[in-house]
Amino acid sequence: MEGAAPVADLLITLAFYGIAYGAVLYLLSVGLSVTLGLMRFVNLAHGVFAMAGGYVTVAAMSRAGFPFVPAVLAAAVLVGAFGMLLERALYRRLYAAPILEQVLFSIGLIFVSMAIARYAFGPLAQPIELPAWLSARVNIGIGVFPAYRIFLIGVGALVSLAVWAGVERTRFGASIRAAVDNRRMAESVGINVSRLFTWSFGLGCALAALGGGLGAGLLPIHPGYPNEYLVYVLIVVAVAGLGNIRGALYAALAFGVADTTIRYFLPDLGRVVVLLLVMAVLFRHPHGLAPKTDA
Amino acid sequence: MRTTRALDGLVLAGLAAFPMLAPGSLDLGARMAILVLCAMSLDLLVGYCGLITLGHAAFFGAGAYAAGIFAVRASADPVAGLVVGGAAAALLGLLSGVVLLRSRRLTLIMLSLATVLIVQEAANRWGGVTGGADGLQGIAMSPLLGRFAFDLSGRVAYVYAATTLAFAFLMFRSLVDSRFGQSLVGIRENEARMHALGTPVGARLRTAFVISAALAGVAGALQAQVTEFVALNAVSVEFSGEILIMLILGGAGRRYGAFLGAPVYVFMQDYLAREDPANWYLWIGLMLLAIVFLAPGGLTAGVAAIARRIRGRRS
Amino acid sequence: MTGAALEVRGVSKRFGSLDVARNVQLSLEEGARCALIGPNGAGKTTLVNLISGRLAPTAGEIWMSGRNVTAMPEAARVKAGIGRTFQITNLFRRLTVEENLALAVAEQLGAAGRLWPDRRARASIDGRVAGMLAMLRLTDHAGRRVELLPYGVQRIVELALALALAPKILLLDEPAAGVPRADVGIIFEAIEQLPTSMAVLLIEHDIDVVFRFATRVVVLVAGEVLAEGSPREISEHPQVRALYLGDARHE
Repeated sequence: MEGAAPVADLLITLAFYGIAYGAVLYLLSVGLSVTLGLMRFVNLAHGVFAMAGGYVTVAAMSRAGFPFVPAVLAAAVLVGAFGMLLERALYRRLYAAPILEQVLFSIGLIFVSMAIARYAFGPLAQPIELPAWLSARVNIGIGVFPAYRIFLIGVGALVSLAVWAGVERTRFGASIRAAVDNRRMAESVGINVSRLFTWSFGLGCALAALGGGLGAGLLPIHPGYPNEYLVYVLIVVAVAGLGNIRGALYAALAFGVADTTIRYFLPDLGRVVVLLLVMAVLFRHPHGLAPKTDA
Repeated sequence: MRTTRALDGLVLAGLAAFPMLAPGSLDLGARMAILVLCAMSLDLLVGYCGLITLGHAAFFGAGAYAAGIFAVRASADPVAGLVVGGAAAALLGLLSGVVLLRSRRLTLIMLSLATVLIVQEAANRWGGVTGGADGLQGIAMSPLLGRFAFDLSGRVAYVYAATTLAFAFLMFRSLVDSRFGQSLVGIRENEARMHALGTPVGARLRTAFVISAALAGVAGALQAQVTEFVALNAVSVEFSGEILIMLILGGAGRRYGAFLGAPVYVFMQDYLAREDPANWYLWIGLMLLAIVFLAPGGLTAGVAAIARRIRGRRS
Repeated sequence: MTGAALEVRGVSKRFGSLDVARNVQLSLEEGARCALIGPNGAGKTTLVNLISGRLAPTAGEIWMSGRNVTAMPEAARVKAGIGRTFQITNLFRRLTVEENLALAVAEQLGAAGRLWPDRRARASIDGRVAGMLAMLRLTDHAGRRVELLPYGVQRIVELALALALAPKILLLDEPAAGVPRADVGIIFEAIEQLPTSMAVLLIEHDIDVVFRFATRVVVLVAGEVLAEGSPREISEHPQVRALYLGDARHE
């Protein structure tokens, strides 16, 4: 009985850290899931918007003196607007293009963004100054945890709830679901698909920026960001099943917990084991665990 | 058909003539031949099967490590090492192909990235054999065919790499000209219909995947032998991306794409990255955007268009 | 005893809560000329997909010449002798007509897996392709990319691809849909000249064509076989007249 408590504590801690990590991954990937389901666009550059969110957050705090939360919100709005602009100017030209061109375009965008990040901020990771209330440790009943991670989980929960409500309970969401299901049908019932694309793309970018900014203490902001976390974002989207928004939440949380736990117990081989696990899952379910259904 | 045969001859003649044309750059020549071979092997998947992967560095790296470890621990004979490198990569291609080829598009890209990361992590953690982050050192190749020692001028290295590339090209050529190659094109163009023609699509793709992996492994083995070193970043996502970019720059599915793309890429990189690597990222990124919006099909398509125009003017 | 060339035994298919095929029974003897008719949405194409192996049935079995092929994947069923056309043209659009046909012929001759160019195989493939082109009057289009051809010609290529597989059982899903009047003749002429041993299942809306071609007609309504019989029996079947033939006259 004596030994059980520490083990239980450890498992709770691992689950907690895993969920905090999963919450950030969810923010980073939910937009890509929408882009894939809706526009069938393989946007490997989705992480660019998260990185941009991180840099804008850092710049707003250090150069304009914004507090953390307003800085992140400003980043989300700015990056979301920028995403809408890019969608109008470039992305939409490639919706009908072969996947190879979409991939090349997004790799090109990654490179350009990496260069710009290096010119503007240098090659090193940007330190993020968390406010005092996020640097504390808080007892939440099941244990004492860093306030920052509690905050990440809270935001993740709020956003996923908002996304769920937005998709399931609003007209905009109904249009998205209709268009994911059958684009031509959606058009024929008078949904303005082109505007829908722009807005959902922008919202996806804003969420990624939110994840990049909020998660900057977890996933440091540096010029290699879009490449470094690419595979994790892709894992979330692929395991969830392309275009499955709710599945993205479950997949992100599951991956966060699995990754954290396995790496804790197998510090040397953890990464290999996690990736092999992902491969095994997709071998059994090549279309993801819950392929495109009710968004 | 005649043009194709003449161009095939030109490629081989170019490989043979390079030492006369640029006797001072044989090291560079060998490096380019290796990259051409690697990009050409990827062309089989990207250009002919229509499978987009970012995982080719896994096969290149597997070949490099296998040949390097073989040289350190078993035999320093280059040709035997080449076979070992190719076989190791083929085996990896066989295993990963079974998993990867069940998926397409984004999932396939993700799984190919995961393959690279797994091989990279394995090489990193298995330091006692691979040298880990310091890279694999202590490779000392014995003379080629027991007679030609690798020298400082790089002449033997170039001839070795170029000859291997020439053989690989002959194989690649007969493969894409065969009915098998045509059926890969059919799968690329309309996979669903190929099923309805009775094509065992999965088996065809797995075969192509193994061949492609083996060729990439041979390229990796060459690299390990010629430089007598294997760096950990031979297996990296970045290098995978570079191979793809070289191929696209030249033109995928156009037979000669790798021969144009890889050298141009190396020249550009040497020139543009000299001062600041950020410059290089910017230019390569802009170049990709330009290819997508202005010149899909890469250099080969551009050259072909110019050739058509000249021919049109003549007739 | 080998049984009928094709036997559909109590096949059902469900998509969610929607029954698109309900306990369908169908049997084609060698050399059969059978037409499958029914209103739009009756599940005719679904049935073709179930027979060809593109879809797996929720219940029931498919047999070919006394062999249960229900679990056999699509490509293997083609090798076993089922060929089909698609209602919506499904071709290799960026390849030429010749290349399209060569893909099918090479597969049929078992030469498509060859890893190096083979002159003898090539000669026999080219010969077969040329024969098909001539038979379907496609020779003039041989070197043109399919996507550049008029839709009517594309439909003929669609038929040619299925014929190139030399199937024992041929499923034709509205082969003349979208073909201009002037070219319809080429398609039905080719269908009338099919080898007499081949079992043919034709989905077609034009009742005149159906009655001229078929010795047997199956009427599918809402995923169920409503009636089956000779063209005469079907034309006199009161429910069919009410449900289907009446509609067709109005169209």
